Amino acid sequence: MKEYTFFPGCSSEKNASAANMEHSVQALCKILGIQLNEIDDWNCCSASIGYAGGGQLPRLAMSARNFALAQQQRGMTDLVATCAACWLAMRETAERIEHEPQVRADINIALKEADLSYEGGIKTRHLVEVLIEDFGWDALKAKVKKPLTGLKAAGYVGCQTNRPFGIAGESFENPLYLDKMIEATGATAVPYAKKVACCGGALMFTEVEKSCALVRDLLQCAVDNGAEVIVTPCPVCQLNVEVYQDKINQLFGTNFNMPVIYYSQLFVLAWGGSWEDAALHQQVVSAEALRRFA
Amino acid sequence: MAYDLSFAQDVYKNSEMGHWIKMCKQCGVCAGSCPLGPHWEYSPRQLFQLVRGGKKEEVLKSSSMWMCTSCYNCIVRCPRGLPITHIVHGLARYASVKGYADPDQVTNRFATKIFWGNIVSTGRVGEALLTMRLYFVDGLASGIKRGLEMKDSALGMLMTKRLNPIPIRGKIKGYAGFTAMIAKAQELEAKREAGA
Amino acid sequence: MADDQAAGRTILVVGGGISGLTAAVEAAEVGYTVLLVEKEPQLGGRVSQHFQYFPKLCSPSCGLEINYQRIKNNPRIRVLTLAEVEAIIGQEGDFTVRIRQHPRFVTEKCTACGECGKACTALVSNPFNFGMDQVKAIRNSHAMAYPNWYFMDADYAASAEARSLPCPVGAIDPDMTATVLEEKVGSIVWATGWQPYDAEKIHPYGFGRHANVSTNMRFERLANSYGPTAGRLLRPSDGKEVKKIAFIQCAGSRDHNHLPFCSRVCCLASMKQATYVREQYPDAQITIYYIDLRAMDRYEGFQKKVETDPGITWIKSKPARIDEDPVSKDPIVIGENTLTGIRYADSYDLVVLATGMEPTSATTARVPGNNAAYDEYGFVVKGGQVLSSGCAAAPLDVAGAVQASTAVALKAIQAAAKRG
Ligand SMILES: Cc1cc2nc3c(=O)[nH]c(=O)nc-3n(C[C@H](O)[C@H](O)[C@H](O)COP(=O)(O)OP(=O)(O)OC[C@H]3O[C@@H](n4cnc5c(N)ncnc54)[C@H](O)[C@@H]3O)c2cc1C
Ligand code: SF4
Ligand code: SF4
Ligand code: SF4
Ligand code: SF4
Ligand code: SF4
Ligand code: SF4
Repeated sequence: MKEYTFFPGCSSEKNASAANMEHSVQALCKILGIQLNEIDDWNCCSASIGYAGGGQLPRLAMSARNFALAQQQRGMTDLVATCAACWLAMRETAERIEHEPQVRADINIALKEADLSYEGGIKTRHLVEVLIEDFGWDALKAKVKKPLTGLKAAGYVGCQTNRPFGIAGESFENPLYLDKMIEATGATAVPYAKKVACCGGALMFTEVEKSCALVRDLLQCAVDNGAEVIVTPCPVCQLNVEVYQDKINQLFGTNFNMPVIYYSQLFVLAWGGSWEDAALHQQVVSAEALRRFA
Repeated sequence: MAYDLSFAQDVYKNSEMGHWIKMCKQCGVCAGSCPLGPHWEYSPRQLFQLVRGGKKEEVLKSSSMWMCTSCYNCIVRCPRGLPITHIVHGLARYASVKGYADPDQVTNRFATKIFWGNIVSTGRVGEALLTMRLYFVDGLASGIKRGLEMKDSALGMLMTKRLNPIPIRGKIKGYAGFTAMIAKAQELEAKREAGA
Repeated sequence: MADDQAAGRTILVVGGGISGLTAAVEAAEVGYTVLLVEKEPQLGGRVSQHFQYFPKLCSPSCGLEINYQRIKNNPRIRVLTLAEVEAIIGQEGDFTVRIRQHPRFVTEKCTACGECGKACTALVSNPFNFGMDQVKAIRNSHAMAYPNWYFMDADYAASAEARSLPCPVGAIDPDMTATVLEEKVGSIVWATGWQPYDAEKIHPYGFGRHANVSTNMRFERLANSYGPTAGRLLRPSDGKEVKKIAFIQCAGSRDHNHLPFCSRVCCLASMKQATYVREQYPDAQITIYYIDLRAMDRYEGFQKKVETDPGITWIKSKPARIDEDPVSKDPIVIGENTLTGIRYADSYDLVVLATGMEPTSATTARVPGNNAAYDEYGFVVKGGQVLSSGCAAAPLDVAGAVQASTAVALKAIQAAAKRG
């Protein structure tokens, strides 16, 4: 059993938009032998859109509080995040604490108000990195019980899992790990030119039409390449690409009905987990296309 | 006032990562990278040029900075290593804090009021409340209209247990400390932004 | 003592490109003994891969040919090809160097008659044309190669076929092995030149992923009659004539993610290559994307001349990325025109990345031991035991490299005369 400190993020809470990710991540960890120890009483990381209301220091302080709690509760154990935006916010905070003494000092003045302090040192990792680096491709393949042979999947990496930090060792314009994950389950990764294109991110809330146009192109590219399903690591991407399909069909007269699932759901299914373990019952656009493997 | 030369200096000093603007070589890579590019009144490159030229009103009243999707394409491509995403976010906040940004600009309103307010009211994002606030920000009638437009999606989210039917969430346990921390951070931030 | 005397008068030149050739010939012609060590099977360096020279647009082979004649006629120059310097011990005036001579598997008896090549059935990717075509495993790199002796790839030498190849003069020897030589020399000129910056590292431009995104050095070969298309400008995906072409300047140059410096020649190289296109296709549309154009020194006249071509569009912009049309395989260049602020997405038949010159001394041609001083980019500069010349010292055009190398030859003579 490998243990990590865990920051789920708001969207992974019960009854939140990425509840399907959280559920399948837990199932995935159970099969692999990972114990995720959630930080008790964590707060939101403020995401990238927090800049305008919060300003830089309050934003950084929010992640710093999570680090401080993690250290108190779990020492310097690696901290794992599953949400791209959380992971990014925490990595940014960690970098600035490490490299900018003034920022570190200011953060600690703020943290003191909550009786906390943090000087840096905890490594923030994406669950994807844990799977690749701590388990490895062979181990991920060895777990497959029901190979998803014949399933055509488009790997959609999106932005924030990919830039500015990215999964270790991957290129910003053509990361390969997600395609490799798809192939590791026995499915086929279709060529997908939009794999790192943006879905609009948080602007889907406010600039709906403009963002929907971006997502339309993402969906069209998947359809053109014969994908039956889009697979992603990012909860914002997942939400934007899945849930807005009705709206997009309305806006552009299209007819999309493309399931969008997480890599964790794909693994759980291939590793012999049930439909419910993989949280595939929690899709807004039905993932019935995958039923043949359940 | 057409030119305000103290404006550039103030941005370099007090806007987040603002000093980097001096380093821009006007190559256009960032401008060609924005997913919502055609909707930017001024591209990031143009914004930086306008800052350097002291065009305060043009920059701060523009809706451009609010078109950033935080895709980070520009950051990884800029040949000079400018942290463009952060500079653009910084300019957005600067415009907002200095009272130039249009309070009705949708993203400004969402980012500065609704989203931030949502986080600080409990310590975490309550998505349901966030969505409701967003829809009802212009009043009841248009809120219901917007809600109806998205009702199928919202219903789908509810049915699949990915949206909380009760939009009120509890506060985190350490809420008092959290609030005090934010207040302190805001106080320090305000000092810095005022150029102290 | 007599031996010592000779050592003091011998100059080692490493790298047989235009810079090394110049330094070697200049020093030998005033009476010094020169040992010229070249890693490749033939001399000439990058210049031998160019199609034409700016500014005069003549073939580089005549300039090289003159140097080869001077070498041939000068008994004081000894040339080792397929050789590398492994160790340098001592100091100016008194060095001992260890040189590894890789096997050529063909002896100096070779007359380049080509009989062996006809019989050879093994095809390998052609490094001289950047892998754009295939060649026989026994060959010479190009028709003007000097020395014009064939060579064999090591893998092939181990095959049974290599033993059965016909040779009228008995020059083939698949059993040849590497040897190590020790030589005493008085001074060392490092002239290992440059390599094209690896375009695959410029991820947004999709070289290696998009079939019709090429580089300027590949384009030189494409234009060359010994190149993969026998000199016709055809694009890789489908052999279509290149009638709509874009050049992207500073691809991987002046960029903190890549080469931070300006290579000084690639603006001129693109202008030159625009003339190749015009020569073949009078109606071709040519677009050059640039940050600012740098026609260094006295080359402004050349730029003026190229600028009179009305079929060239100059766009002040560093493109953000290149996409590929999935069906036509046309590359689509995406960015912002910085003069108009208008965003573009333009399709082409072929895109040429004007990549810059990375000093080989930063990677594959480090000076052994602690005998060199480098600048922040890996160019060999003043301050170490070895002298440097040409593109090993700074990014230069041929005229600049020749000039610098003449000066360095003089310094090498002075250094060799020092008593250790
Ligand atoms: C696309 C392009 C087009 C150009 N066109 C022109 C033009 O039209 N006109 C012009 O004036 N200039 C042009 N240039 C510049 C020109 O190529 C250089 O000025 C010239 O090559 C410099 O010669 P050099 O001898 O210094 O280096 P190189 O030509 O690189 O020669 C170095 C030699 O050293 C050898 N070597 C490398 N490592 C070792 C080692 N470890 N041991 C032994 N030997 C080694 C190499 O094999 C090579 O033979 C162009 C450059 C580019 C990029
Ligand atoms: S990024 Fe989103 S999900 Fe993650 S903590 Fe922040 S707001 Fe919550
Ligand atoms: S793709 Fe969309 S959601 Fe995913 S990281 Fe980018 S902007 Fe965010
Ligand atoms: S990419 Fe960088 S250097 Fe180029 S215009 Fe944008 S900020 Fe300036
Ligand atoms: S992060 Fe913002 S500024 Fe940068 S490319 Fe994306 S949208 Fe444009
Ligand atoms: S090796 Fe022999 S056969 Fe081959 S080219 Fe030389 S002389 Fe001719
Ligand atoms: S010569 Fe031109 S293309 Fe080459 S690096 Fe300098 S400016 Fe860029």
